[in-house]
Amino acid sequence: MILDNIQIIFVIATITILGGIAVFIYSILKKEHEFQEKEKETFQQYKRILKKAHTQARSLLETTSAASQELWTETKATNEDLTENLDKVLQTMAQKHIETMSKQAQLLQNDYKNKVTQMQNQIDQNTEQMIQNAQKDITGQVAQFSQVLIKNATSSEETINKKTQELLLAVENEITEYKKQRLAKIEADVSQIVQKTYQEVLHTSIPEDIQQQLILEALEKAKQEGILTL
Amino acid sequence: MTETMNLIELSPYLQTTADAKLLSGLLTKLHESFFKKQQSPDAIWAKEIPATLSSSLQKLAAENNVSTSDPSSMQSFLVKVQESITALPQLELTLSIAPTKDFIKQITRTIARQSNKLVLIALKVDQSIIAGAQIGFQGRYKDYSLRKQLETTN
Repeated sequence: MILDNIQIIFVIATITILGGIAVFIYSILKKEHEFQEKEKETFQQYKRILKKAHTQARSLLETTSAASQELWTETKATNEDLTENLDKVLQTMAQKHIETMSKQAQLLQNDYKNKVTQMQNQIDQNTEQMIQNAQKDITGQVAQFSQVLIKNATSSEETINKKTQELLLAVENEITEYKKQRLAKIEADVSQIVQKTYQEVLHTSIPEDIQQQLILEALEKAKQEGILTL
Repeated sequence: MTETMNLIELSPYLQTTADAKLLSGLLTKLHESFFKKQQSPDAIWAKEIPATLSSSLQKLAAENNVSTSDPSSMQSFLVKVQESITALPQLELTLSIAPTKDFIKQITRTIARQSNKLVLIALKVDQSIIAGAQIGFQGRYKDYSLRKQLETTN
């Protein structure tokens, strides 16, 4: 009877452990689902956490499976000693529970693997899409910037050409005017020098008696013209 | 306006404005000497001014009935002579050469033949007129220079 009780306790303990494991796995899956919602920037960290959780879960499942198998084997051996009616009932119940739990655990493990695979695929697709969009945006922006740059460069070149032409014209006009002024001044200077030289040469070449005669003639003319009249 | 004296007697000393300035200076000196009365009038006439000028002035004084031995009369006379010199008409004459003393006399004679009055010559030398003369007299002006003739010809 004591043995029967121990077996029952074992079975209950096993069931409890399996239940705990199930709850634990469920919480991990929930956590992973929450991680899906996180931003792309935390992807690497998220992946690492998932990997760690995956490893731990797998380890726990494998340990649990092994423990269940061992318990089941031990229970089977112990059942032979139980009374035929009660033992059969309890044995059947325990066996069914264990099988159910094993199946559930297996299902959970498969489901978890599938979900992880789906998540990885989804993340890969999202990442790929994000990179493609970024490349598309960058290409568009570069093309637009190039067009603006070319347009501005063309406009600047035209402005510079126009200003250069205006400056050249102004400089040419100034040079022409300067040449004109310089030529006029040179002409005036030369004329003045020629005139002065001519006057000096003429003045020195006239003898003094002729000079005096011209002066007296000038006075006579002045008298005749009434300049000297009092 | 005070009446001016006829200064023909002083014409050898009044040919140009420079002469007039010099004569005016001498007359001032003479006037001061008569004012001081430190010498006798005869001594003043003999020592203060050149003899020829002294003679001309005394002759001019006599013509104007002024006693040359009376210092007071002489002072008034000298003042009147200076005023008459200042009132003389001036002939502005620009020449291309610096005239000699003899040529200035010749010019003076030429002018006197026309006006028969004493005229002071304000001389100016400007070689740029080449030859001939520029003449200005009592607000009238005429350019008789060779330069002017050449400019007119051109």
